[in-house]
Amino acid sequence: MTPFEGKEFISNYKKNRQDILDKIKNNQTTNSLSQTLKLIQKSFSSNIKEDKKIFVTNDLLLSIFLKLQHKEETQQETRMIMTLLKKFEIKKRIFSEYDYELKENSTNFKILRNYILFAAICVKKFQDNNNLKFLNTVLKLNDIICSQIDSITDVNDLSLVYYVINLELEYVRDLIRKTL
Amino acid sequence: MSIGIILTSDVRSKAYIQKTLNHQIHFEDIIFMNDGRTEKKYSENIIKLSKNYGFDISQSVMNTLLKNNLDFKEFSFVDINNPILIRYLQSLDTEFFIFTGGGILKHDILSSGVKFIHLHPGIAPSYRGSTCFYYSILNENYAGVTAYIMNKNLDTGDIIYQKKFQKPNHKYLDNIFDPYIRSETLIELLENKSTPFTESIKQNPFDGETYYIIHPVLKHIAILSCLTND
Repeated sequence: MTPFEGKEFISNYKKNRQDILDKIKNNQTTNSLSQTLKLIQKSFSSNIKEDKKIFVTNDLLLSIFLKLQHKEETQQETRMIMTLLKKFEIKKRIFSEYDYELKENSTNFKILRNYILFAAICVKKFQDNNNLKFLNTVLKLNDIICSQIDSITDVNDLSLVYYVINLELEYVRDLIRKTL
Repeated sequence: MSIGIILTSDVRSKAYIQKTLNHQIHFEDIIFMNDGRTEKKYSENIIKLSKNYGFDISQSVMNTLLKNNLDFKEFSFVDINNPILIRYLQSLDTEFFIFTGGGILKHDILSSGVKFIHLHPGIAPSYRGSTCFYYSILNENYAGVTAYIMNKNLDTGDIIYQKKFQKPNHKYLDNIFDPYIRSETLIELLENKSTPFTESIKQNPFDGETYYIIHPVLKHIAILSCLTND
């Protein structure tokens, strides 16, 4: 149970997130979201192992994020997002491969890009439907990402992190304005 | 209709047993799952506030049971699915048990013939899952409680009673507000016992929303919104 630390807790949260944004901006030229998506899309291999009916999580998440961006989300994507969100909330991990029923097919949960892509998906879902369960998950994903920010070197990943943290901060500020 | 209660040593159980005693509500059977954990110490402020809300947080469940000469069966574990507890429940004739804890009931206890009533701090089906009163305060500016008959899924059982509450004007949501809203709903439910629990509303498990443990940032915003209530 987190003890209540008053307004100072919120100020510290905002400062920590802003420090991460400044760090990214100072060390790296970030691309716009559309540029980042174009570059990531080039590397997109639709890496679904047909014979084993296995999803490589990175490709699955990228494909879902692109569909959300193009407003092409179907019930299948919605179901996958909700299942992955539940799994992340329970285990606090995203594994590198899942099967068609979204059962883990790997023990590797250390690929940071999966957390970044899922944060981008959840922040887009919050943008679209204002459901706090998505903002809640974004905050938890970004905590993990921020704790390992120094290990992220890929410009596309850093650009996405910059985009997601900026939006998270904006939505938290909006919520504070509405409720306090 | 016979009703019992299963208590643990948490603040929720303290509020349930003290308030039912104050309202002269008696249970057919009282079960106390007591794993001997050390009683938490509370500041004078919290104790005073809890008394304003109708219970004394500094009084342990054991103290309350002994002081009031209540008959109870004590188990040294806190596990609703424990086979020893299941066998004991099956030896009783009590139809319903108020269960102060949460979690998932497994097949064995669900098929024991006993029905369990849980008081969930959210208006189901819109607020299922964990820490719902924080989400409800952020979204709707109020909190709510749903009393339902537990089934194998989380917060999807048949609804028997619901009650909404204004958000508090203090910061003790976990220790005071949560046990307060649940115990108030319990009292109303039991004082309205003339309405049989069989008159319940079925839930569609696919409707509504399930929330997960709230992030500290959202929790702080919810509590701060309570402090700017006046």
